[in-house]
Amino acid sequence: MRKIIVTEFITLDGVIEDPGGSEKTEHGGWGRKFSDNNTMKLKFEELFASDAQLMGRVTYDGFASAWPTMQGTGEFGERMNGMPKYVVSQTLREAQWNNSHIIKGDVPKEVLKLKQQPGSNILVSGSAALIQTLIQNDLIDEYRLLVYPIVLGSGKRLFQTGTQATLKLIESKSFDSGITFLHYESARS
Amino acid sequence: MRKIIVHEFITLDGVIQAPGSPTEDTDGGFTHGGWTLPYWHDDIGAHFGQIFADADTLLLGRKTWKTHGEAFEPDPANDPFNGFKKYVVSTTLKSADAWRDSTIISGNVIEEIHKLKNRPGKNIIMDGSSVLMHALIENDLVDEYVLHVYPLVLGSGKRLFPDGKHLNLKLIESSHLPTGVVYQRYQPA
Repeated sequence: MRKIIVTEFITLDGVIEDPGGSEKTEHGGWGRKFSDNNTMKLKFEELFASDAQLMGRVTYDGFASAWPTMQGTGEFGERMNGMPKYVVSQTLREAQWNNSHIIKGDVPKEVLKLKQQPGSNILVSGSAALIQTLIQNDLIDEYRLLVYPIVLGSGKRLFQTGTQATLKLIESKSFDSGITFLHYESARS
Repeated sequence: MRKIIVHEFITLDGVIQAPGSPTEDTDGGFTHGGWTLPYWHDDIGAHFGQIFADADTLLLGRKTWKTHGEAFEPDPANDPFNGFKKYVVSTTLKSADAWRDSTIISGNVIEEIHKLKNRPGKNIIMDGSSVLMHALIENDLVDEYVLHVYPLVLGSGKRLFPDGKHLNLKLIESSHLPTGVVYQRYQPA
């Protein structure tokens, strides 16, 4: 079965919202001041080990407004724009970004069907609301977290009140920029 | 000037409540107390040894002071803080007899802590103390965060960082233990 891998830029206080600034939130863009070749390499490898993206509507809107016209993104950008994107939304009528498909209705059931199809890893970025649903339905296989050395004090968090999970550390490594990479898998008995 | 070094056992969702035992702190109906116990490793003790070596003072909120006092006062030979001067911040405590070498700070807390830092001596350690911790963080009085990060998401409980406070940090050290605990040290940037 395909794996769902949650991949996030995350602050020390657990905020994942708008690191790039494309959602135009008040605290957005916090990820931009750290440019680190090591983390870019990690993201590149992760993207090329996957063949689909799954996201909630807010993240989708942010990505869809930025990626199609972003300059200088090379192969990474080509893959982001080319690969299939599944956006979970009960209200979205049309998904404008190239190769997008809307998932509505019984979301856990539809996501499980997606995992059962032949294919490689499915990446989930951002998508705070969707992630709580995925955790509740035991649909997440791995977490790849890039922990930034900042405390933001506001914004949507990866793990929200009421969400519980037990994870298992696969690896950790830190970079000169002060960013730490934490790689976990879901602990399943 | 002396440094205030904060140590916390912390979950992946930022919770620091009741790490050591089920009955330690059930405020808010918290039922997960003792969540660190399955992950113990001697390296955790070694990390404490390293931060204690440069410290001679403990600064705590009332509840944490009381919990430590109950554990260590009856058996001073096995008190890891034996020889430390303790300061407990409380407006309600009438006596500091419950743990030897303790002094109560009952008013002008931030001012008293500034004075404490300016007196000669080694570093000052804090742990637990969520309410006092928030006050110190908001007033930029913390010089180092020493975090043991557990592979758990609890969904409720007292958190380390107060809402609304932005901090820029520098990663000083990062490693992980065989039991899946990640060890991170940060200082204000």
